[in-house]
Amino acid sequence: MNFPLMQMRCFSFIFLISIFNSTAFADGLKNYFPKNEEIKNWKQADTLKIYKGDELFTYIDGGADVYFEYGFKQVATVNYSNKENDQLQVEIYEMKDSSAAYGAYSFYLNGEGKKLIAGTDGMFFDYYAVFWKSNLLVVISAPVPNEKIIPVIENIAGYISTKIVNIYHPPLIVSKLLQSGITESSIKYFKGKVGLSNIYKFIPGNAFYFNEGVSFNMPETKVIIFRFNSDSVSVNQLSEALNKMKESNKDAKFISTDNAFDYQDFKANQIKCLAFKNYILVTISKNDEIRNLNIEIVKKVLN
Amino acid sequence: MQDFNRRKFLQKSLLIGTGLILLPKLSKGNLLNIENIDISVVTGNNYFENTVKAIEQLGGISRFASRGTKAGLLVNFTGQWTRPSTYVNPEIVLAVLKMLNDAGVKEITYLVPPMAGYFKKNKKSAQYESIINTVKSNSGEFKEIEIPKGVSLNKALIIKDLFDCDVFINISINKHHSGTLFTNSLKNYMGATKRETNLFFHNGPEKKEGQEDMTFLSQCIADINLVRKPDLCISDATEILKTNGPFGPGEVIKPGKVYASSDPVAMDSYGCTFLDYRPEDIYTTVMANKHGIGRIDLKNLNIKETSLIN
Repeated sequence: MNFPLMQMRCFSFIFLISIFNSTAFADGLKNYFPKNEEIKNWKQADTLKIYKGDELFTYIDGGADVYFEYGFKQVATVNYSNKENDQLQVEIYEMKDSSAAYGAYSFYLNGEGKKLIAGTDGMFFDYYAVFWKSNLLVVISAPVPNEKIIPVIENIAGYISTKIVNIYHPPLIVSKLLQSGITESSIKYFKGKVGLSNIYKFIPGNAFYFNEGVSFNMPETKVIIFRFNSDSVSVNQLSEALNKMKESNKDAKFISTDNAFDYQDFKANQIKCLAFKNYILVTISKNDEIRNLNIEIVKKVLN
Repeated sequence: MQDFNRRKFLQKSLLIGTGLILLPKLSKGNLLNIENIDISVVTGNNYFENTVKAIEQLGGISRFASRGTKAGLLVNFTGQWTRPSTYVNPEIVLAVLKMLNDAGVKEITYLVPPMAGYFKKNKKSAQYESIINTVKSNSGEFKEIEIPKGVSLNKALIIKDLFDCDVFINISINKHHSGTLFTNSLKNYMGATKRETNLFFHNGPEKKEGQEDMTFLSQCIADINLVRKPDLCISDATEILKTNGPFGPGEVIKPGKVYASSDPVAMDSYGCTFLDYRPEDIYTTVMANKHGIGRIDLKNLNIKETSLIN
């Protein structure tokens, strides 16, 4: 058998399959939306709109930046209305992979929602529901909070969820946290500095160059974990971060110990940054005793 | 006697002359902000009244727009914003339109068009329909403007009508913005720039996918604000999208405030505190302050707060 020829055929096959898949998904997004009367008394109020790549800026202005940081492909959106002219908007974001979908999903959580039985994970808040499944993020929202349409939102979420076949798990670091009982609604998963800046701002610019990060709340403590490629990278990054933070916060007093440093931020929070294995753990708290207990719990989770 | 009369005549002439020089300024109300208020803040459930009061505390609309002038309104109310707390409440715009109309302005132009059905979202609109109908849409033409003092942005395509109006009023909404942490008066300027200019803000001179640069974007926003400083800024902090902005949906808080100032940097310095930021945490505010556009020293600003809640 001619090996190069076989290899070429193999590549061509993979290439064709990948084209087929991406086209199928592009066309397929519209198939996830309920058609007229599939949700009783509700119909599509306008035609489906799709925004691909940079067009996301046209759709959501600067909100697009954080989606690009995760890896964004396209979004499809349709408005629905009923006879009373109640309105709903349904959006399906196709992200690069399931981690990206999870990350974008985590930014919609604001802590006080109720569990939505749809998708891999789903939450319902005042006037919107959000869930993720596979590499898709689904957002269903009303223009004003309206109790009457909550069951409709749940119906639509269920409809879409059953149509998405593939299920993937959240990022490994998030899975570990969920298994340890960390409250899901406080978790934010991020891939870059736009995401991080929206959680906590250490310095102007980049304090850490991480592979991925996650933040969550524990009793009296906010925790941020950065993951790096190796233990040595995390130690180096900690040292570089200390220098950058000293430079940026000239008034703050930094206390360094082995693989860790502490300082106080402008809100009188005690910030502790600690290199542990291939991670840097950051805790933000006003209660040292509880903070230290939380650090031990997190270390066990990451072990 | 003759000398005295001549002296008196000269004194009177001097007084009249000085008066004539000062009159236009007085008529614009520049001296009417007696308390030297930097930011006027009004809390209440009636957002129309909050807006009127906020402007009154600054010396009234005639301080900014006099009879026969042309006013250009840059309002954050375009088509993409449909969710709660993502666009300026129509009552605030209605109040501004009424005040401008009462002041006898010759022409009002929207520098960006409102979303379809914007005024129908509020019942008060029916009362002011005749004024709403007189407002002109922008020309749709953009002008390339050089920004010699720009750090990251040296030229931009800006809606031509911004340069045709005598009075530039910037009406923004105070909310979270994942790309800059916060958006208000300074960032609202991007509503007046062409899409390709805005894409440059986000992507920089060389597009790097997934490599958004918050600093670059913020610097461009500070730079664009060098083009023309608004005569008056008004901000909607009645309901604030606190997370997942600017598009939402996300957590909404309801401070019920409308605030105004002629200083867009002071506006943002005050506004970002609703989202638990300090002015120095927001790049756009810091960079615009460095340009000398306005003040960031919140503690030293004269902020007049009034409550209309009984």
